Amino acid sequence: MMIPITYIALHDRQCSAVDYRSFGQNWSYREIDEIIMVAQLAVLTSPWRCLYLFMKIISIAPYWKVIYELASHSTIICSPNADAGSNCNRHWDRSCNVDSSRRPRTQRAAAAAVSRLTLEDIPFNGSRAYEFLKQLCVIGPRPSGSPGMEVQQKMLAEHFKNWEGRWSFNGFE
Amino acid sequence: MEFQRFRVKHPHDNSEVRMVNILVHWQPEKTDRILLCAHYDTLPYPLHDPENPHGRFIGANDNAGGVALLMELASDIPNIKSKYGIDFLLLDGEEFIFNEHQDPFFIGSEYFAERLRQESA
Repeated sequence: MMIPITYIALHDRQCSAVDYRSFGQNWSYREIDEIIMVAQLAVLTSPWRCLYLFMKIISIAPYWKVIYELASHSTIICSPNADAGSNCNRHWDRSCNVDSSRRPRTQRAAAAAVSRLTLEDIPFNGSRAYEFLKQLCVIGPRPSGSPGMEVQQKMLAEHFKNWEGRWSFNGFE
Repeated sequence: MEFQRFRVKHPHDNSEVRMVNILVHWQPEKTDRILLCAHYDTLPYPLHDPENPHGRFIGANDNAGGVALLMELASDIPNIKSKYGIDFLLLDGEEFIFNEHQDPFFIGSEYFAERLRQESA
């Protein structure tokens, strides 16, 4: 099981899955990747990995707090902006009481990008889309030039002609 | 609706393979347009499957999902009032790949782009 590393906050550094590398100004890409990797291994807790994990922890001892936090949570982790003293438990949680002006730039941007729309506002029938997906998969493999591709082409042509016709008929402006 | 038909050589046996890009134009009279694309061919084989790289590959996530999305969007497009026209482009030959180190990806995309360039010239 891979853990979803959505947000990682250290006591004096923040990093996110979006651009976590930009936060660890003093860390190399490799160091950060190692932390992520070890953290993922930590929650796996597979016995045969224990030795490897132990060696890793020793090798990156300065980051033991990260390892500990990751290993002690099934999901990650948010203590955004330690300066603000917050300790919310969801990444980019808008209910978090952190002063938004003190959040990291990317976190503020992400919060601003959260849409006010709900699923009910979006006229998209996910169930029907899933049915289309299943119909396509029932055809089987559909590589270029194959019989499956021909079946798919006919299916798509009929489908879109149908809607295109309705469009022309409705012809709204 | 428009079908861009073209032919390519099979990368291994040089036989002729017919490919088709499918274009669906919504409100074609509008000059400002949004193009939504999805490739609709699947890999011939699951090349990255470590256990059976020549097994059966139905491409649910690559890319029946994208195609299904456009299929469902088609039912909503007529209700969208916008100054933009919308085009759906279903691309063939995105991954007609038998050897990913030598076979070309994006055949349909390149054909579409080249046609567009020629028509715009």
